[in-house]
Amino acid sequence: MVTKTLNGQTFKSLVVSGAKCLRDNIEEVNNLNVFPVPDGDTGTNMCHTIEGGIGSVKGIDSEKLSEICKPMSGGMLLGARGNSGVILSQIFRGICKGLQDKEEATALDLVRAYELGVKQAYGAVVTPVEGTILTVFREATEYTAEHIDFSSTINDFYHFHLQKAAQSLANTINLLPVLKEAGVIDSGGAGYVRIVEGMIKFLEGEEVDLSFIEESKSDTSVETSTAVDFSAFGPDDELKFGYCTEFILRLQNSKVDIDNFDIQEVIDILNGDDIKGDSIVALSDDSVVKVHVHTKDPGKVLDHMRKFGEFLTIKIENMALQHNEQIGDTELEAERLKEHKKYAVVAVATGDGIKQQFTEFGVDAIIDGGQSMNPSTEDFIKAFKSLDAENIIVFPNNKNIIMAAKQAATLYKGSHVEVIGSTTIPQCYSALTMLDYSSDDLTIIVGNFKEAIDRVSSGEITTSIRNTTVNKVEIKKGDYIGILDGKLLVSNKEKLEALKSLISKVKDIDEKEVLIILCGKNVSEEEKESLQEMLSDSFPQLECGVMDGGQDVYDYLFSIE
Amino acid sequence: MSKFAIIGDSTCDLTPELRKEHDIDYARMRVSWTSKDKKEHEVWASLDWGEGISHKEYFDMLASGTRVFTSQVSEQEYDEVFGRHLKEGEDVLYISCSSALSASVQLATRLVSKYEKQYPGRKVIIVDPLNSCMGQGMMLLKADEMRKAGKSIVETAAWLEAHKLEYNQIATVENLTTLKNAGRVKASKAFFGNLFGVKPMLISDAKGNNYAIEKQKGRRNALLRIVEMAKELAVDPENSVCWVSEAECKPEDVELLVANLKSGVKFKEVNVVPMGPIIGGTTGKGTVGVYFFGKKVEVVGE
Repeated sequence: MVTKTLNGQTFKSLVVSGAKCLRDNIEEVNNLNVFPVPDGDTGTNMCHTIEGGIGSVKGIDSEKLSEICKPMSGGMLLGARGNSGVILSQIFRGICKGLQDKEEATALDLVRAYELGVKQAYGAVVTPVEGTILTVFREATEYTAEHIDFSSTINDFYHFHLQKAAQSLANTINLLPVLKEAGVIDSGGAGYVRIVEGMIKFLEGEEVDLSFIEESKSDTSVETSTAVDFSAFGPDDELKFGYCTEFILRLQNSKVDIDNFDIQEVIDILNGDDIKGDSIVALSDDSVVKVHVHTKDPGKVLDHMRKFGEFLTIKIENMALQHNEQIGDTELEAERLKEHKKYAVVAVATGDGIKQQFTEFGVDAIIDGGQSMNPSTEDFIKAFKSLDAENIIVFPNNKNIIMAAKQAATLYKGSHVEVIGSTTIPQCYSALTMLDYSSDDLTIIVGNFKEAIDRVSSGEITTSIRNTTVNKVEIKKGDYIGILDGKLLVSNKEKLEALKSLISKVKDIDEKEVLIILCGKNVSEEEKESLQEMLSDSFPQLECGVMDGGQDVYDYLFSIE
Repeated sequence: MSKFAIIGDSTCDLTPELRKEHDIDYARMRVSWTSKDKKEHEVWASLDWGEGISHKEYFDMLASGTRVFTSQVSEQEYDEVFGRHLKEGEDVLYISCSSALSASVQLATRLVSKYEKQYPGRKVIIVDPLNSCMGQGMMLLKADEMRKAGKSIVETAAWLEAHKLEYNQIATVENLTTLKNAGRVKASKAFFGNLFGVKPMLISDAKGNNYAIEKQKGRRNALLRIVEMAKELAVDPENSVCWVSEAECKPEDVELLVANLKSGVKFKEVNVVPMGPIIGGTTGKGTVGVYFFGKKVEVVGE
């Protein structure tokens, strides 16, 4: 099909087809990992992100771009995971902004929308790095802009866009030294190229349907619904937990001044005596307001909200019923246990030992995740919702998770959220040992955490999955490799030797005092003994703590300070 | 010169030389423990360290995990120590261990009327310093200074009462095991949540408790933080003496601390004494406390 204009349904199909192509090549994208470690997840993250957008427009049959773009952009924002995922969601946010006032778009309109995408994506990243998905998207957009005029078709637009995106992707290896040394191209950029390829497949006539998303979700998603057990709320039961009430509201010009609308008005009503709402999350994006609230009187909520606009969707569920085994349980559990706190800590962690210790140290909510499983913006918001805290301090513990955490912090209005830039579990471990709310001053509490993190060097020992050279270190498949503060420095056939040599490489090691080692789930008791012995022989000046982390992939994680 | 006796107790950390030089007597508490061979031991909490166990042996034993139990000054001991001065016609000024840390002072207060009956015309005045170790020790030294300057026992006691919260303590411990075993330090629940590598900063608060006011990571940071806090809190350090009580710390730790107190806070003099068995028995080997005259302590632990 050759088309000069793009309408809502065509745009939706383009995105669906792009997502499918990415999903089909997910492993290839995941494997574009700088370190030879089996935990690349860029493809997975980007898939979750784009599928989040598709999920929000699945049931919308409108031909108008304006009715597809906003929910699509909102869905991606919430579904965003990992750095590339967050950037992708921002790219589409910009594009959708550019298209949402139109019923149909021409190739020239697309150029302007894509240019907004560039602006939005660069604006969302604190320090944009060239040689990544940002570069690929920007160069492709700039190139396309030069080749499109009023006579161009939508097909032309994507043709030029893909042509340059592919070229730009091949060049990422020359822009980022880490890519060059590892001999790989940028994974986020590669994911993006797959999406554009998919879009072109649709324009070339390939059929799209949404079934691939359902298939992929059925393996992993915890949201698979099970039958509702209505017996959980009998004729004599008292309404204890109220109703989980969620809706999307379209603000109406006839009712409010949309441009100057302040979401706080909605929050104040939900918090007010009439409704006494709980677990409130209210987000607004232009004329769309999305609300989640627990209340005993959803009728009143609906009455109040019609002051602002009309509903697009409404969902009201009695919280005594378990609508879904896992989600239902945790939500109810959270309801029962929820205690009002001035300060609460949310941390991302994986590994039973680590999670347990974090809980003991005073972490209020743990989000399951890590390098190979980046939580989404929505996962963060869910964790925030599970708490009743005035201030929430977040430890993302991975550089690919920070952006999703920050995005969630901006979207969530129920509490003040501070994201600590922790990039490793050991950093978080070390910071938590200094947890102390006694100053009752958020600036001091957060400052202490940040200081604690800056003091720590973090190390990791894992196994290489391929022969390669990184930082001039020659690595054979199966060797133990040591990564210190994000730099691969050591490779050795022996695990403990690799650890010893990595610890020796810590700057000013003679002045360090405290070493905490978290052992992975495959470390035996015997090995722990040899580890203790090695530590007291080689580093007698260090106060050493060996703990069970229970984590996958990494045999040892350590913090030293 | 006013004729009154100055008496401390086992928690005051004054060495035999200092007590002799300043004519200060002390009432002894007792310490007991069960050694690894299951033998029961009970000895005087002596500041002379001459009775069966040395300073090093005692703190090594604590470091090996042995828990010691301490007992307050007995009536018999007060009869003996106060008696030998009252008999000589001297009034008694007793500067006890903080009432928050030992019940000795309560017993002594109850005994005052007995002694005044027994020795007509004699005064027994008790000052609760809300402090221990060299905080208490410094007040005993100050009492002697005032006595030498011709102040009466009443004037001396009144001055100490008025200024006792200006004797500051900042201490830290090397290892938290003894501290946790003994449970004698006040701190919020979360404070001791995880302890690895964490060093508490202990002050003597306005109610006389040892209170963990903040934590530091690593020994060196803790020692340097003491210096930083001292700098903030000391009054006229150039003209005053700073005391360090230590429980078998590594010599380099003490050296680092002393050097920084001299160069950083500029105390006229920094003197080191061994920490006594009572407070040391609850904080363990490696405890080090710094004591000086400074701003009034207003913090009250949770």
